Amino acid sequence: MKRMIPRLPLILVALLFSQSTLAHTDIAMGGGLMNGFLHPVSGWDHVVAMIAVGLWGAFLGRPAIWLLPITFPLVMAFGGALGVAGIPVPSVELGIALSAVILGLMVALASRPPLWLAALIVGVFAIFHGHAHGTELPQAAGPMAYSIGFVVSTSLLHVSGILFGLLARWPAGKLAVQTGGGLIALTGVGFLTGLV
Amino acid sequence: MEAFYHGLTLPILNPAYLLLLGSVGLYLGQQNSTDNLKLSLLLFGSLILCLFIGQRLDWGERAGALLTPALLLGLLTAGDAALPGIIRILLTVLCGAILGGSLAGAMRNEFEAVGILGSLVGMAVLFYYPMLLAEWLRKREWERIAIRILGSWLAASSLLTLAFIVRSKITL
Repeated sequence: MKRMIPRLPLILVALLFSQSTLAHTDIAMGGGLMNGFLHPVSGWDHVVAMIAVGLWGAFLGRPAIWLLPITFPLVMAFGGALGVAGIPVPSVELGIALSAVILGLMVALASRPPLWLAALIVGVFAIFHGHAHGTELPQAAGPMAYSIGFVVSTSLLHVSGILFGLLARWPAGKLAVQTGGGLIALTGVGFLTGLV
Repeated sequence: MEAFYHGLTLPILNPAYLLLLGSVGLYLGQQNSTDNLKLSLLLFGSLILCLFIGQRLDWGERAGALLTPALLLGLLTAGDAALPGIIRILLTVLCGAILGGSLAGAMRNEFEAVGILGSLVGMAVLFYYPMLLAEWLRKREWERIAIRILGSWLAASSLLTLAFIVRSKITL
């Protein structure tokens, strides 16, 4: 151990200037997966809407807390399939921006519609988000891996929303969650008006 | 050794194999039947049989055929839908047959015992890990929900990749 310590700075410097060795260079798989994973998190319009889905699910409690995150990827994949097939969906960008406004408002106003209506609202917006991803799918490096990456990434954003939404059990937490919903709705208004 | 690793990585790096093996493993694990061991042996039995039949018939590798049952099984897992025993057996055998036939198509130019062994090891990992995970995560309600969410991910990914394949009419 004593002999190791003087070498440590040298090793760190060597690591700093070293190049990565790519032992597994399946670019189509790895690149596609990473691109797909990063796509939903690289656009704020997607991020805030996905988090809002999780927040709302947590706010509504069981069974919405798991039903909404199950519904969303499935309907999103359907929307994605439409995008891949080249079937147009009108006003996709408007739908995505509106999803942030409506879902954010649902959380901010602590809205508790029937479960079927909540699933329907989430499902409709999922089609717009899926379509936006789907139209980019054929151009991806590894389209199949890309689709897995973006489904997982989207769902992890839901989980982030759910975890934050669980704070609603406490009065102060409920206020924080509703404030979060309000901020998401405001961000959506920013997307609609082009300010964000 | 190179042939072994090539065989090993073939199902791991091909999303269609990964999705089908993950789906069938997760579904069987979720249903937690006492017959899971027998079902897994049936899966690999039909897989090996169709691997050799497919090699003679030049079946070809069809990603669409792999992804359709993956989509179905993902949906069944998301819905936590129980199937009658006989349907579960038939579905397992069918999945094994599709996997074996497709693998034969993928290995038609390098059909070696070592490579096949590598692929079987890779497929066993991709099948048994989700199955054991789903069998293990059954005690609490959130654990069963997590498995259903995983099922929905598999179904969604399968649907998208299937759409892509239908559009571009490609084989893996």
